[in-house]
Amino acid sequence: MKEIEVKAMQAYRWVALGGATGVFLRGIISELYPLANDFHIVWINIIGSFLIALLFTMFPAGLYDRLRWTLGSGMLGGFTTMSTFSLDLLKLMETKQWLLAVQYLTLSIIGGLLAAWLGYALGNRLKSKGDSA
Amino acid sequence: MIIGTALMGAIGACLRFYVGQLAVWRQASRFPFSTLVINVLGSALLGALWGLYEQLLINEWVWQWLGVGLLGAFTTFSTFSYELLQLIQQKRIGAASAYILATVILGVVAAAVFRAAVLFL
Repeated sequence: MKEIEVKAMQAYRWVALGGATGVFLRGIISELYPLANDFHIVWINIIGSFLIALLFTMFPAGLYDRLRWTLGSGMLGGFTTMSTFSLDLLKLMETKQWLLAVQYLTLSIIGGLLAAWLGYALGNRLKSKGDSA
Repeated sequence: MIIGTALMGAIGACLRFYVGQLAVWRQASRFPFSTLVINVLGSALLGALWGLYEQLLINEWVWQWLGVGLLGAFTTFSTFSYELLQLIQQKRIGAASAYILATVILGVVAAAVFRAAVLFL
């Protein structure tokens, strides 16, 4: 019981470290490579979806918890964002930029899903190579 | 400023991790309710914060720290995509569609309602 509690407390440290890094990266990218109508958030979310699927597939829970906390829950969770996505979508709809709103929405959802699938497929392939080697 | 934003991001990520680990979700482990609730709640709060920012009631710093940092890290898109992929791989297309619709519609509506509430007050 005590061991589990200690492990849970440690998790927060790694999630915090990763979360700060992820937000920092999102801030830097937004600053350096801004796109019109906040479309950089679309790319950030797609890339994050790819990487989290790759990470979670390659490194199963139980064996690699620390890595999953730091890079997955922390860094990639902090890097990607849903709140800004919702607000950006709201802003586009309020200003009646319907086409852009539809593009923003479909690119994010379909792109994120395809990216996650790609990450999963690549992760599986890399994992089986590692297992057989 | 970005250091502060990143530090708030650390808090946001921990809050998300904490909420995600709550025992409530275990009863409904077949559907990713925790991420849905986190994302809708975060969108609502960001909407309210945007309302305050528009009204010039808070400055750029507060917006960056709480909006981009705290709420940006609290909510997540990567986990959403990953959970969506898992639902589709389990051939649960209905659940996957419901997950997309609920996240997008509830998120946008929550942001709109909370922003309107702030403007109204």
